[in-house]
Amino acid sequence: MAERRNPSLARRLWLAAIVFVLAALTVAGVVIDRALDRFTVFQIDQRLDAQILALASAISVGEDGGMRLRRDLDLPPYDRALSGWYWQVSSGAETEPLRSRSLGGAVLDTRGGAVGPRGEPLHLRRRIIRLASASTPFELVAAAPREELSAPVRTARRALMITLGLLAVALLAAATAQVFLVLSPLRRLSRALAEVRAGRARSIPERQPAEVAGLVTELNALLAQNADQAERARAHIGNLAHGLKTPLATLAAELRPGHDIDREALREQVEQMDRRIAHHLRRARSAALLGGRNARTRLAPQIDDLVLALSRIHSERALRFDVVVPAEIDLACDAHDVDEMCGNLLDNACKWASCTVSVTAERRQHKVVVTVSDDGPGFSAGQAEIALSRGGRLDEVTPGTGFGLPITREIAALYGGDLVLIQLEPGLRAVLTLPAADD
Amino acid sequence: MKLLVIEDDPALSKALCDALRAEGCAVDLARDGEDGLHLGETETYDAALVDLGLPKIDGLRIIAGWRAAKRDLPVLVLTARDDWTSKVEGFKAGADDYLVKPVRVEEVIMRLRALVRRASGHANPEIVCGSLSYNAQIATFTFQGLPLKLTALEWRVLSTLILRKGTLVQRGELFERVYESDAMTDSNSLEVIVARLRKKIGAERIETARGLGYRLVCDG
Repeated sequence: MAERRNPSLARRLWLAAIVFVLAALTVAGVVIDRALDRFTVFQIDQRLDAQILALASAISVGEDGGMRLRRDLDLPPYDRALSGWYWQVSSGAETEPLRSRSLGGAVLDTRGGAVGPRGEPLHLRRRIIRLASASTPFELVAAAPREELSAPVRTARRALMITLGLLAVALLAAATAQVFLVLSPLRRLSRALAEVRAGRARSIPERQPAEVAGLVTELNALLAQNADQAERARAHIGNLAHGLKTPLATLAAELRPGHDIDREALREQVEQMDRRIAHHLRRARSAALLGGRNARTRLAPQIDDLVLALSRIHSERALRFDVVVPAEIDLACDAHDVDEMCGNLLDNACKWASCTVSVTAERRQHKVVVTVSDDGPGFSAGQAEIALSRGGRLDEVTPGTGFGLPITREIAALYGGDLVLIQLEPGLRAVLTLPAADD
Repeated sequence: MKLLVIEDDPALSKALCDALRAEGCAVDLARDGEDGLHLGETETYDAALVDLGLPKIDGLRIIAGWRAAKRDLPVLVLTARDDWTSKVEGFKAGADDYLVKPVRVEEVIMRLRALVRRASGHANPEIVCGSLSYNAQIATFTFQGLPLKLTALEWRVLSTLILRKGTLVQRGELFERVYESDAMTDSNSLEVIVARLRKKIGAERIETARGLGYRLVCDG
């Protein structure tokens, strides 16, 4: 039943082989049979024509106007009675025709069907000649038994059928072997994959026939990606657990019996845990972990939307946004991730800017470089490191999760990109490098 | 200041309403999107606090619905969705500000006050009306340089009047902005509050347009 839904490759190849072999052999059989037929007819015709030619050259007309032959032309097989090989020379209806001995006195009826004195079917050749010495034309006829034509063809045909039959069997056997051989790499591949699944191998052997090499490369890349994701996920669960246990321990200590509760300290711990969870959730949401690298996102509309949102969020400050993003720039990133990275950079710039936030984007070969600059206080190289490390927050007063820049760097890294902070005079420039979508 | 809170989580909505009332605000609570959309369309509010993940009607659709019906009350979105795509969607639907859960209630109050102040056209948090001044950030009045003690109802009336100082505030509208929708009130109570306010800041400050409403007078 399964085959009906999933047609087997082997069966398909087999059916194709059967159809092609049978069709080719049938055509070959018909063509060879025709050729044999023509060849036999040609042979017999040659013999009969030679006899007619001999008759024509031997014929003469006597003083009395009667026909005779100058030589005896009744060579075998024309001399054997009713042999099926006959000749006859006739001239007009009133004169007795000259005949081969084999006719034994019978006259060949050349007008009606070609039938001999025994009623046997005949193959006839006929020629009309005129002699200067005679007033009427002569009709020269030579005949051979039809059996003489069909018997060799029958024999040859039987041999042909046997040969073609054997050829068909051999070809189909070869096709079977071929199907088996051609499909064996697929069987090996499935065994290799089963090995990987069973945990006995980490990847599929790379040495494969050219046709499946691409498939194997892709499969191995997929396996490597899965392993990589599992590894990252494990590392992040570890980080998350670690990051939550410290504030939890502080909370437990703070809540111990007989201790005056410092509400503000508790709140700070809760917020710290919230920041951790938010960071890990954001990262887990990133489509880069799930093959978002194949996505295509136009940058300009995303930036426009983010600028709209940020101008509302920071509406108090009446910030100016200078956006220079070419309309045709496409990123090979998921749209949510683009929002996340650019949103964080813009938000950070808005928090620190004194009046202007500028955004530029530029395509450099296979990369797109997005810069977000502000004209705020900026910070030193050491501070930049702190800002980019997870949970690092330079300023505890400016609201925000403190995870904006690190999460941006992490998502960018998942796409093979990067985030660099550059000190300006005054201000800070974040330079985000991301893969460009292919044209 | 009268607020509409649309939040389905019972614990959070109670905490929010309690905190907002403690700050002197009148609060109407809707526990699902349908109620919220309806209240926002029919009642008068200074601002709305809208959760995005709501039963029946999604928060984004509520905001878009109000904007389509030309209801321009300031909207603060309060949601657990902290990604930028959701924020952008919120602002595109017509939200004015966005807060991600969990939030400190003080932060919610601060943002709401700022929204209300900006919606009435004041860029500066300090609103001055003669010898009376109002700090919209911390929601307190000073009169002749000294802090002015007010009850919640008095504060609601006076803050509404000072945000629109010099212009007439319709009596019906003032009434709506001061009392919660399900409050059992006598229609004369507004006069009682205004009378008490006049005693505190001087009778001439609040002008009565008979049968129409009140106006806060600033000159002098």
